Amino acid sequence: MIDYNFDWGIIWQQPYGPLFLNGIKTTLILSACAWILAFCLGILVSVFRVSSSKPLRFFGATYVEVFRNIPLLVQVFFWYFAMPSLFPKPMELWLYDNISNLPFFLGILALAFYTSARVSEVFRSTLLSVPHGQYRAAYSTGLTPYKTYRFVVLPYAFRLSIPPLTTEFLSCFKNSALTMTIGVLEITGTTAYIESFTWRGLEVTTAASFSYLVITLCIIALMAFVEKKTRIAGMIHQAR
Amino acid sequence: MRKSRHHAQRLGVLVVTFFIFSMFFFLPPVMAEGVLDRIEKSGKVSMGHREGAVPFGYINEQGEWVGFGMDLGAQIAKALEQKFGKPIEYVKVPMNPKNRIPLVVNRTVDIGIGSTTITLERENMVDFSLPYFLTGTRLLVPKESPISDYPDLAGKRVGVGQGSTANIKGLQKVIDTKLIDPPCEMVLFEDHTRGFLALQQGKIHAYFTDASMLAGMRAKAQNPEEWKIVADYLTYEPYGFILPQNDSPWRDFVNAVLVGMFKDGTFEETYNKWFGPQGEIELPMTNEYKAMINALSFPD
Amino acid sequence: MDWTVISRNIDFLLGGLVVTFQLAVISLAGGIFFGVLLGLARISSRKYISCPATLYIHFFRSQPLILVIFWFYFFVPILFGKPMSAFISAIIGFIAFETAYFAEIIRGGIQSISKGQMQAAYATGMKHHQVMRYIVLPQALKNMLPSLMTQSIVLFQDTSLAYVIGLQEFLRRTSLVDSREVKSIELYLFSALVYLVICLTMSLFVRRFENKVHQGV
Repeated sequence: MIDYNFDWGIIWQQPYGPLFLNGIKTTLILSACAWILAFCLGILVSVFRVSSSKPLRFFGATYVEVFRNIPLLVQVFFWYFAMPSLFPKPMELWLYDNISNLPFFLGILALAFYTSARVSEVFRSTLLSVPHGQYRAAYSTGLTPYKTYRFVVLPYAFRLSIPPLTTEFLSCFKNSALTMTIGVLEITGTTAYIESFTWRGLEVTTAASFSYLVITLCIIALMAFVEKKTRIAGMIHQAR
Repeated sequence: MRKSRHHAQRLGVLVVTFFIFSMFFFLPPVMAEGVLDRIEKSGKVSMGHREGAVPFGYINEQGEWVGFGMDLGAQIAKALEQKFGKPIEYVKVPMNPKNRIPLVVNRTVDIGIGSTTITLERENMVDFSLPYFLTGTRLLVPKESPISDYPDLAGKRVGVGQGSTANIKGLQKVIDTKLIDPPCEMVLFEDHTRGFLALQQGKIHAYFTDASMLAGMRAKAQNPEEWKIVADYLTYEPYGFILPQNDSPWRDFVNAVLVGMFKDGTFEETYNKWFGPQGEIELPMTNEYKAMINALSFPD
Repeated sequence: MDWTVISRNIDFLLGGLVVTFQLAVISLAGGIFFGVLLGLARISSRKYISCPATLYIHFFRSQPLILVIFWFYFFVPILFGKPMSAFISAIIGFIAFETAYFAEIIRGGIQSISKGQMQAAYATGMKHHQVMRYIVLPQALKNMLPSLMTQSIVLFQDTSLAYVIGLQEFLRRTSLVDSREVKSIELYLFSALVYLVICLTMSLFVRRFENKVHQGV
C-alpha cells in the first residue's frame, strides 16, 4: 500500500479553489468561442463543398483535408509559435504588444479551425442525407431553391445533425485541454499549475477528471433535451 | 426521453464509482519500514535523478548519465557502505518534476536528487534534506535590452516556467508591492526552453527564473554573447534532496553526509567540477552560497 | 526562410517519426485487442459484466486524452512500484483511452446486424457462438472496418500528445530543434506536412476501401 495522505481540502483552499474555478471558466469560454467560430466556418465550407462551382468545391475539400489530417497539437503550436512570425516584424511586435492574453486567442483560433473541418463534414453529410423526395416535393409546391433550403431542407438537416454536432462539441470541449501547452490556464493547465505548487497531483487531477465528467454529462443531458424538443413528429429516429 | 433518462442514470452510477475509486486512497497507509533498515537488508539504495537538467543530472554527449547530483549520490552511497560495512548497490532511477512525488511516495526512490527548491508548502508532502545549493532568481534579456532591474519591467511581458512556483510567487509579490508599476504581464511556459524560444521571437521581453537555469540556457544558446543575465536575486532558491515523509533516522543520515562534505571540502570540489571554470556551466559560488555552507557546517 | 534547418536535423526528426510509428502501432494493436473484449463485454447480457464495461467506456470518453496521459504518468509508478519510461506509460495511457473508442465501434458494428439475421440463424438450429462466429461477426467486421480505420488515423494523430510527458516522438523533436534553432515557421510547416501526407494517404485508402465495401453490398 502506498504511503500517501490525501488532502482533498487543497481543491477549495485559497488560492487554489478560485484558481481551479477560473480554469473551468476558461475551458468553457474557450471551447464556446471556438465552437461558435467553428460552426460559422463549418457552414461556409460545407456550402462550398456542395456548391456547383468546381474551384469552390476544391477549396472546400482541401480545407477539410488539411485541417482534419494535421494533429491539433501541431496546429496549436503552429498558431502560437509560427503564425505571428509570418507577418512583417513590426506587425508581429504590434500583435504581441496590443493583444494581451495572446495564447488564449490563438488557442481559440487553432481549436476553431480544427473543429470547423469536422463540423463541415457533419453538415455536408446531413445535407446529403436529406431524401431527394423532400427537394422534389418542395419544388413541386412552387418553392424557389432559396425557399426550399430555408424552409424545407435546412430545418430538416439541422435536426438530423444535432446528435453528431453534440459529439463534435464534446470533442471541441475536451480538445481545449491542448491549449495548456501554450500556457493557457484552462482545467488541465490549472491542474498542472496547482500540482507544481502543492505537489498534490492526485487530488487536483481527480478534481479535473471529475469536472470534465460532470460537464460532459450536463451537455449530453441538455442536448438530449434539445433533440427531444425539436423532434419532427412522425420522423423515424435515425440510428447513428 | 429514454435516452436522457439513461444518461441521468449513468451520471449517478459514475459519481458513485468515482467516490468508491477515491475511497481506495483513504485507506490508512501501512507503516513502511525505515529506509535505513531496508537498505541494510537489501543491500541497495535507489536514488532519483534528473535526465535533462544540465548539470544536475543529464545525458552527456557520450550518452552517459552524469551530473552534479550523481556525484553527491555517490557520496551518500559510499557513506552507506561505510556504515553497514558491506557493498551497497547504487540504483539510479530517472526522475522528473511530474513523477517525483509518486516515486518518493511509493518508496521507489529513497532519495530524490534533482534541482528542487525547498518550500514550506511542499514540506507537507515530503521531507527535505538541508539545502545543498543556493541560487536566486534573475532575468535573462537580449544584450541590447534596456531592462537592467525589476522596475524596468513595468508594462513588459515576462516569461516564467509553469513549474517554477517560487519564482511565480516572488514575481507576484514584487508586482503587489508596486515595485513594478504598471505591473508586468506574466507569461507561463511549459518549460524553460520554450520560454527562451519565445524570448528570441520577441513574444516576451525578459525571462525570469533561477540564475543557475539562466546560465545553462545562455550557455546552450546559439550565440551566448547575444544574451545577458541582469538584476539581483529577487528570491532565494535553496535546493534540497527530496526524502520520504517522517523517516528521521534516514534524514539525519543524509544530512550528516552533507554536513561532512561541507566540512572536509569534498562538496566544494564536486561543485567546482560542474560549475567551475572547467565545468559544464560556469557559475561561481556566490557569497551567500558560501555563507550558507559555512552556516551548515555544524560542529561534530 | 531557411529550409536547411530541416536537412540539418533530418536524422533526428525522422528518428522521432519512427517513435511515433512505434507508439501508433503498439497502441493500435492493444487498443483493438482490448476494444474487442470491452465491446463484447458492453453488450453482454450479464449485468456484472456489461455495467463496468459501460462505465469504463463512458468515463474515458468524457476525458481529454492529455489528462489521461497525465493520469497514467502518475499512476504507473504507483501501480507497478517502479518508474516506467515515458514510452511505456504513454503506451499504457493510449491503450486505456483508445480501448473505449474502439469498443464503441465494435459494439456499433455488432449491433448493426439486424435481429432478423440472428433469429434466422437460431431458427436453423445454430448455437450462440456459431451465430456470432459465422453470421454476426463477419458482417459486423465488414461494417465497422471503415470506422476502425478512421479511428486508427485519429490514434496516429493522437500520438503527438505524448509530447506532454517529454517523450521524444516526432512533434517533441520538432519542438526541441525549434528551441535550439528558432525556425518555427519552417519546422512546424514541415511537421504539419509530414502528418498531412501520412494521414491523407491513410484516409484516401480508407475511402477507396469504403467504396469497395459499398459496391460489394
